[in-house]
Amino acid sequence: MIELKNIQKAYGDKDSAVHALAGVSLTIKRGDFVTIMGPSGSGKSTLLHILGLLDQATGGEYLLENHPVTGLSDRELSRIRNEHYGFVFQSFNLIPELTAIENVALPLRYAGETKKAALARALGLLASVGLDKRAWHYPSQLSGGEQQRVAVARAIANEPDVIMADEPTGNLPSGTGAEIMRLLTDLNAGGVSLVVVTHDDHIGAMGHTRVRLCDGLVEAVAS
Amino acid sequence: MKARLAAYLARRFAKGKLSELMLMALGVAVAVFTSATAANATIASRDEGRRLLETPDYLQIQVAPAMMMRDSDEAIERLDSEETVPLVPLVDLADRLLTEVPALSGSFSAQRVNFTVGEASARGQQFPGAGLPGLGGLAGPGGFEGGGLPPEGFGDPALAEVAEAMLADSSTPAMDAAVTQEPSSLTPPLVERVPGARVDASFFDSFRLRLASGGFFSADDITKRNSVLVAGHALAATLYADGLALGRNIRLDGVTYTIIGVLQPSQANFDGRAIDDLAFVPNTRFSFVAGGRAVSFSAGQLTFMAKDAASVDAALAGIQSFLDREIGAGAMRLSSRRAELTERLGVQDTLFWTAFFLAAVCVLVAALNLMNSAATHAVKRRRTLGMLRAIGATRADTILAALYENAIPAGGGMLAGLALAVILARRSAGLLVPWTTNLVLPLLPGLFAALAAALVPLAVGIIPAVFFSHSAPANLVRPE
Ligand SMILES: Nc1ncnc2c1ncn2[C@@H]1O[C@H](COP(=O)(O)OP(=O)(O)O)[C@@H](O)[C@H]1O
Ligand SMILES: [Mg+2]
Repeated sequence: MIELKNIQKAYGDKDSAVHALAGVSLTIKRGDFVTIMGPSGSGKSTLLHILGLLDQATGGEYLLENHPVTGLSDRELSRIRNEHYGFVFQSFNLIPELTAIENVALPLRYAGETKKAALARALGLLASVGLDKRAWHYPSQLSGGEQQRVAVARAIANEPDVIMADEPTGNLPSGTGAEIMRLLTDLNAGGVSLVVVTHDDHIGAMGHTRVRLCDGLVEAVAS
Repeated sequence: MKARLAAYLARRFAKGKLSELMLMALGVAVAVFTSATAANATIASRDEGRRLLETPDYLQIQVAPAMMMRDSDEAIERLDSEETVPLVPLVDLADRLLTEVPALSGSFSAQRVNFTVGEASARGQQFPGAGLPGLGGLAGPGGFEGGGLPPEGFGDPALAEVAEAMLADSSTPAMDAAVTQEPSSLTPPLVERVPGARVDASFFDSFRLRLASGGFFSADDITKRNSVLVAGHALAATLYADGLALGRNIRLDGVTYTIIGVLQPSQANFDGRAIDDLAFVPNTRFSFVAGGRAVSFSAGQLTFMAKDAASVDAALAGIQSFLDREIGAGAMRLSSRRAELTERLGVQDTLFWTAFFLAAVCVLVAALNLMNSAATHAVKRRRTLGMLRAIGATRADTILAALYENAIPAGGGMLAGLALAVILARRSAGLLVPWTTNLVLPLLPGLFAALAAALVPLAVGIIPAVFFSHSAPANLVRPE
């Protein structure tokens, strides 16, 4: 589904450039569960951002369903993110001015659904993560684990092909983190591809494809 | 659809900023209010000034000796030494001046006085025989002919004695009439003081005054100093509630005047008083012979009238060169009320621009306040913008949301401020410019203030959103 070929990412000027990614090749198949591990600063987040079309590589090739994404417009990229990808970040995922249900409804509304339909579906999504009772609460009124569950609900709002999560349990106590991982793996079991960046060896070991990054290079891939 | 979504987000984002919005509205209101009322006040008084400039009052050019002889000892000394240069025969020169300077339309001599109803005030500032006829033929070296009020400096007891001596010798029909006047026909003193003016016959012409009833002074009234009186419209109504002023007698400063005319209402002023309120009596000329030369002098200041507002400067120059030539450079002093008012209007212009500048500063402060809060909100929203991009918002979507978000407080503040400013300006304008009854809010400064208050923060508010939109979403979602 997604194929990265020799992806490079350099930050800054030519002379003093930081090579966050120094040539990464990776394939994410439909329904796959990929975990990305590696020391801090090894380029995990950078890789996830490029995978999620949130950033552009400075070298290499990104193929989506065998089509290169280079040259796609902001509009087209936004549509891909909206309809095919779902994101869960480590923290502050939610828009603080919006309630939980409004946060979940937002991707639906960007997809063109009416407010009413979007809210109705958002409530169902919140129910699926066990938070329908907290639908009209603001993020500041929710616990860290609840916020991450809302983020998961939002990530799956448009039934994405792949969910990309950057240390989704990094800020959570282990019990709560396990709940979030269970939500994600259940989704994966339902056919959604899953890419999870993690520091946690236990979570790392859960992946069907396990990628190890070091200094912007893939150190090892295990399946 | 996209626009509605952006508007929805903007509303939600702006929701927590209500108190801020109110503060901004207040800031804008103060800015608009300051500029509006300042402009109001200055425009109104400037308009009033411009209107005044077109009135006959401001066509006047006064001529006076550069050195007034305030010290009567000095006056007598000068008369004795036959040094009469400062006491120029102004009135005699007036006719020649009028023909020589085309910018002039006429001249009159007049002096503002305040009459006491009944007998003359105890201080004896007035000649008791003022206005009494039949005192001719007393001319001699250093001697005054006639009564009336001499120019300042002549109200000296020593001179008054001379006049009283002259009066003692005289026995005239008019005097008898005054004495034999039936007390009942005299005006009961409804008022104690009557503002007035001693004027010559051309005064009424110069001020384009019309009669409601009766007549003006005749040439005889002036030369013979008849005790007749022309009353301003309001004065006549005040003195005689029955409206029958004409033909009645009134005793002012010990002289009984017969009212021979009542003026129609007039907008004009003389020497700062409404013509309507004044009592006009003949201005006496007095003359003396000095150095074998007869000099006639008007009691009041000699005033020339320029043809119109545009010819005042030419008239001033013409009179000055004539007097310099005929009397000597620097001997006479000219003053023009127009020049004074023009100078004041210039000050008003400065005031207007100062007020305008201050208002602009207020607008700027309000705008800066709004800008500041818009900027902090935008920075705080960096991550939100990143999230929106991650879940499907395009660059344009985020900018549109920011536009709406800032348009809400900017527009709401502007409207609320404008409404408040209009109310405040209307309420206070009457206090600032009391003579302006029909005040119109100045559109341009108000619009300027409102637009500045709305557009500047709006523009600055969306700059961060535009700036962030050029960033990859990854840079926005990364924790700082
Ligand atoms: N915007 C940026 N500008 C410059 N350097 C960056 C930027 N983002 C990341 N980096 C650098 O790229 C490297 C990889 O970062 P990151 O992908 O966040 O690592 P990880 O997620 O594995 O901790 C790090 O050295 C980091 O300092
Ligand atoms: Mg990271």
